[in-house]
Amino acid sequence: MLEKLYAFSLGEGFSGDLEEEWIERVEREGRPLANQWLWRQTLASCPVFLKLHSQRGGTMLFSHLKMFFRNITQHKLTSLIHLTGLALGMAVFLVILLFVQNERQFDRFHEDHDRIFRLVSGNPADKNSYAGSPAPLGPAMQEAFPEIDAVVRFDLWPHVVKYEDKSYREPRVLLADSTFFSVFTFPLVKGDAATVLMDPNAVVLTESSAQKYFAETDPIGQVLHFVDRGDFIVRGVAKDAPATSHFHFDFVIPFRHVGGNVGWGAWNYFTFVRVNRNIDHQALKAKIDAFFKDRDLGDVTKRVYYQPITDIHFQYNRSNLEPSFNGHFLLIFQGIALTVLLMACLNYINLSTAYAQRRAREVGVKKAVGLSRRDVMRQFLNESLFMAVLAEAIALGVVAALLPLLNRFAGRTMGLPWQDGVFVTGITVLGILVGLLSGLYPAFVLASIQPAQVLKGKQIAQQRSKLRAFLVVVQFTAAIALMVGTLFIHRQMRFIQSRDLGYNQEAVVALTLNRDLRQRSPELRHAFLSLPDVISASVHNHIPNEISWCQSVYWEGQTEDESTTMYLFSADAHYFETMEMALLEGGDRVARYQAREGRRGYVLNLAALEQIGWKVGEGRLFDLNHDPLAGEIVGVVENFHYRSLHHKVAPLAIYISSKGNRLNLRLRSGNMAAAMAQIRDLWKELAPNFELEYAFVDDKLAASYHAEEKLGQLLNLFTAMTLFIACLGLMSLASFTASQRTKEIGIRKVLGASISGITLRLTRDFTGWVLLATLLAWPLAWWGMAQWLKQFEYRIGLEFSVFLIAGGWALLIAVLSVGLQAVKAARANPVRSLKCE
Amino acid sequence: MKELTKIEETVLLAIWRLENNAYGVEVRRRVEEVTGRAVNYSTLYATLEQMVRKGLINKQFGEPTAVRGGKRKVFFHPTTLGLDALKRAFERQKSLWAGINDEAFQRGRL
Repeated sequence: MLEKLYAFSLGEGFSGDLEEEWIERVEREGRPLANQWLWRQTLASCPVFLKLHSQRGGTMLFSHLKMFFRNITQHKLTSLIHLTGLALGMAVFLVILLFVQNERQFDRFHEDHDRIFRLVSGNPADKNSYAGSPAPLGPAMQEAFPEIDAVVRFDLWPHVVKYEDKSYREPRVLLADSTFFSVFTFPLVKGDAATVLMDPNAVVLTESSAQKYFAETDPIGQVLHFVDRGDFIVRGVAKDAPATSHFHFDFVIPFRHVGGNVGWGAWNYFTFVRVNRNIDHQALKAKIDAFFKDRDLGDVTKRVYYQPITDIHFQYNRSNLEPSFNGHFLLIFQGIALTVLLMACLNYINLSTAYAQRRAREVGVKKAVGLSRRDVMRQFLNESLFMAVLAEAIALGVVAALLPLLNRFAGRTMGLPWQDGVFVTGITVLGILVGLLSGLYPAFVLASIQPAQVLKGKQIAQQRSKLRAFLVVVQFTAAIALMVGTLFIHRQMRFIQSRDLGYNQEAVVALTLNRDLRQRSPELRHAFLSLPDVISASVHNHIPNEISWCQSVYWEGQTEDESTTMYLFSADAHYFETMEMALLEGGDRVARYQAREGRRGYVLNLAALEQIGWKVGEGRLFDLNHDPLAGEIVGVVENFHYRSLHHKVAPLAIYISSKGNRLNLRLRSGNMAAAMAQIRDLWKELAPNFELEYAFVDDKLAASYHAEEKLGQLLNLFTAMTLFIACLGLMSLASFTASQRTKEIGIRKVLGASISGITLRLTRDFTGWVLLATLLAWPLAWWGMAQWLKQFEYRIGLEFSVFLIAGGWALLIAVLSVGLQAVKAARANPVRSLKCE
Repeated sequence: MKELTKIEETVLLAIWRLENNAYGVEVRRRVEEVTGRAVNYSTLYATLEQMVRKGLINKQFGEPTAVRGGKRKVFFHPTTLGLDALKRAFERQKSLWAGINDEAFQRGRL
C-alpha cells in the first residue's frame, strides 16, 4: 500500500517500473527475495519522497538529521539520558492515558448505552444510595411511562450446574427478563436475541461456558441441570461479557425463576430501562418523582433515580455487582501523567541548557560562516524534534511490550488502538509537541551564543541558575507529594485490615449448604460440633451480594414517619458465640433461645437500637410486618462490621432461625490442615452427594479490599517513576555543575580543602532546593489525601510523621545522588583539572 | 552552461544508447551494468526529473501494458541540449584522457 502512496506522487512510470521489475525478479529469484528487494526500494525512496514534498527549507531536514545523529554519537551519555528521560515520560503518559481511556469506555459497548439507565434508590452520586429495586418496579414503570421503551430486570446468583458427569459451581448465573439481549449488547453467536429467553426453561451460555461443558459439540438443544432449579435447555450462546462491562456472567436463565420475595418490599433486583431517543430527562425525572409520591412503598424516604449505565462503574452504590472505581482517581491519574511528561521535558530543558557549552563552538562557527540566528535555532529545534520522535518510538515499543503484563496486573484489556484515527493523530501531535516544548528554550539559548566570544575560547555565561533551581524544585515537589500520598494509602489499607471488626474473623471457616442441606442445618451443626478441632458452630443465612439485605421493619410504638428499612439476615442462636461477638443485652439467654409458636426472635445491633431510640431493647416487639407485630427482641449485639469499612455500621436486625445456608465453624487454632481433613471426612459421611464448598472468613475479607490494593500498587509504581525521573534530572544537573567547577575544586584542593568539605559545598545548593520542594509538596499532598480519605467512614488521621518520612526519604535520595557526583568531582586530581587552561 | 554531474552523465548516456526503449526498468539496468553499482528507483527518478527540469531530456508516455498493472511506461529521450552536453562531456574526456590506453597501465607510465 505504501507503494500506492509513492506511486501517486512520483508518477506512474515509477510504480509501473517497480511492478514490472518485481515480477521479473519473482521469476528469477523467487518471491521472498523479490519482496526483499521491493522493501529496500520502498525504504530508499523515503528521502526522495520527503524531499519532493516538503515545502521551503525541506532539504535542510536531512543535514539536521545527520547532525542529530552525529551529536548523539559524540555525546553518548547525555544523549542517552535525554532519550531515556523523554521516552520514560512519554511511556508513562501513554500508559496512564490508555488506562484512563479504558475505564471511561466501561459499558459503552452497548449499542444503546446512552439510552440505558439503571433504577436506583437515592441519588446515585451518594454512596449510601442503593442499587437494587423491587421486582414489580420495572414493569410498573414501563406501563406508567411511555418514554420507557424496554425494561430488563436481573439478578445474579450462584448455582451448581451439572452436565453428564461434569458438575461445577457457577457463581455467575444471571436470571434475567427475556428482553435482556435486546437491551444490552452481548452479541449472540447462536440464537436470536429477541426470542432466546422466551422459553421458560431456556438457558443461554457464554462462549467460555459452552467450551467448558461442551467442548466442540454444539450446545444448542442440550440439557443442563441446575441444582435446586431444574433442567434447562440450551437455546443460545453469547459472547462473553467484555472486561469493560460493569457486570459479568456465565449463564442466563429466565427471570421467572428467581426465588425470594418478588413483591414491592424486597429491593433485591437490578432493574434497567431503556428510554426512547430525545426525551426530556428533566420532565421524566419529575414524572417519576410524582409517581412515587402517590404510592406507598413502605419507605417514603427512598426516591427512585435513574442512573446512566455508563456511570455505574464509577459510582459507589450499595450492592453494586462489582467494585467500582473511584471516578476522582481518573483525574488524579491524568494529572500524574501530565506531571510526569512535563518533568521529562523539564529535565531535557535543564540538561540542554546546562550543556550548552559543548555545542558552543559549533554554534560559533556556524554563525561566523553566515548562518542567521534563526537558522541555528531551527537546527536545534529540529534536533529536539528528532529526539522526541525517537523517544516516542521507543516509548511506544516499550508500552506495547509491557501491555500484556499491565493488563494482567490491572485486570483489564488495554491495547494500543492503532485503528483509531484519533489515537494516531494524537501520538503524532504528542511527539511534535513534546519536541517543541522541550526544544524551544534550549534552542533559543544555544542560538544566542555569540561567535566572537566562543572562537576566542571563552566560556559562555552560565546564568539562569534560578531557572534550573525552579525546575528541580517542581520535579521534587511532585515526587514528594506522590510519596506522601502513597504512604498514606498504604497506612489506610493496613488500618482497615487490622481494625477490629467486632467479631473474630480468624480461624473461622464457612461451609456452604445448599437448599436441601439447609433443611438439615441443626443436625449438621450438632454433627460438626462434635469434631475435636471445632470449638463452636453456628448457622446463618448468607446472601451473596448485599442487595437482598434490606427490608422494611416495624416496632411497637413506631410512628408513621419513622418507618424505615434495615439490613436483615438470619442466623441461629449460637451465631454470636461462634463469631465471638459481644452481646450487650441478652447474654446467655440468646444462645438458649427457642422460637416460640407464633413469635419470632430478633437480635438488633446497637445502631438499630439507637435508630429506634430505645435504651433497652430486650422484650420489645419488633417484626418485619406490622400487622401483626409478632416478633420480639431477644438481644442486642455490639456493632460489628458486616460490610466493608467504607461504610458506617448501619442498623441491622438478625432474625433467629435455626436454618441457614452457611455453617460456620470456629476451629481450634493451630492445626488447620488436620481440622480441614476432619471436616472433609465428616462431610463425605453426612452429605455424600454434595460438593464441599468452603471459605475462610478472613480470606474473603481480604479479597474485598482488592481494588484498593491494586490502587496502592499502581500508585507505588507511579511514585517510583516520578522519583526516578526527578533524580535523573538532579544527578545529571549535579554532575554538570561539578564539571563546571572543576577548576574551582582543583584550586581548593591544592590549598588544602578536604574532600568532605568540597563535597559539602557542592551539595549545599541542591539540598536547599529539595527542602523547598518538600515544603511545597506537603500542603498539596495533605489536601489530596483529605479528599481521598473522605470515602472511608473509618479512616486514619493525617499524621505529620508521614510527611516527615516522605520528605526525609526524598532528601536522602537527593543528597545521595548529588553527593555521589560531588564526591567524584572532589576526588579528581587537581593537577589534571588545573592543567587545561 | 554547467557540466553534467557524474550520475547525470551516466543516465543520459544510457538513455541515448537505449534509443527507443529508454524507460525506467531498462535505464536502471543499464546503469547498474555499466557502473557496477545498484541504483534505487527513487534516486533514478529524482535524477530523471531533475534532468527534465534542466532540459536535458524529455519524457513521453507510452502504452499501458498488462504486465505493469495497467500503468503506462514513461520513455525518455535526450534533447538537443542533452546531446550537446553529452558531446561536450565527451570532448572533455577525450582531451583529459588523450593518449592513455591499456598499454600505459600495463607499463605503469605513459
